[in-house]
Amino acid sequence: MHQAQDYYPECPEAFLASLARSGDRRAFEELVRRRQSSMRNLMRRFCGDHALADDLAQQVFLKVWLNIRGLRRPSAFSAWLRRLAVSVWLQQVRRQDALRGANELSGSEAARREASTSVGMDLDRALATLPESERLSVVLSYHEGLTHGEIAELTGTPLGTVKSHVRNGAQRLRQALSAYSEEPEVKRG
Amino acid sequence: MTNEDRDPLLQSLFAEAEQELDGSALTAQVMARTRSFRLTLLAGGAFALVLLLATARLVFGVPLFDFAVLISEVLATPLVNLGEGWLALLLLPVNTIASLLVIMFKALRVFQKKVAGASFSSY
Repeated sequence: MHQAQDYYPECPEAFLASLARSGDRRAFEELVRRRQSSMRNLMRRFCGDHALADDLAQQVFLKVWLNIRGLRRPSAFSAWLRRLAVSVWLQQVRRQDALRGANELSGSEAARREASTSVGMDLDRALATLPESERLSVVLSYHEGLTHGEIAELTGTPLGTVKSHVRNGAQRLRQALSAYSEEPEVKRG
Repeated sequence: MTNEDRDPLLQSLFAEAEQELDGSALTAQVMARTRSFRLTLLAGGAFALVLLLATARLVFGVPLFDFAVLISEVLATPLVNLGEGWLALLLLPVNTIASLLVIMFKALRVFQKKVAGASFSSY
């Protein structure tokens, strides 16, 4: 006999968020399963360190579980999750761990990156050269597809500053990844 | 939403860098952390309760005990000093402040019932 939880994989996200809000752990688990990949990718772009990114993603989901009762509109789960992710990342930045993690890579991580030729690794390496605030704005703009206004609202940064961060950050990234525009098929192959 | 003049190359690189990551391990870890967090919370709550009770006992325990002793001593005080003879032992159950209070309470109840009965009977 089927249980209600067996149908969770087919349920809309807002419905799952609503169930999780009322304490349904299986619904929360399904939300984590659905969102973990995009969350880890976002954190990877932020910090450039896969292990740290996974840990930060876990912190985000733990925050979700602890605070989901405060989520008024389950349909806004996606935006709320992004807000928590940015909040966790900014906390990490304040603790200076992220700066150390991004700029002073551990030996194994650095070696792994050197050995890697994937686009993701090159992108993360280029992102790590950006100042923290620029990286945040660029990632939210290019990875999350947010508008400048949304980034300003989310990060509490003035709109003009966000615009210049995105513009300057993109310019630097473009320079750092210029090889892709010259020989895209070689690099990506 | 507009594209906000995004660089097409960077857009394609970001899209290409997005990997579909297997989430079974991470999901299990998150769920384990929520469980352990709940247990930690429960253990913390129990510890706080024990600490609170212990503190309350330390702060209020001795004064409360002293107060109880004082009350029991007052209640056991004889109304009339009959010495230590057999009469004193015989009247001991009624020759205390406590027995006087009990008798007064009983009398009050009887009087209350009588008054209530009288008032009801008038209807």
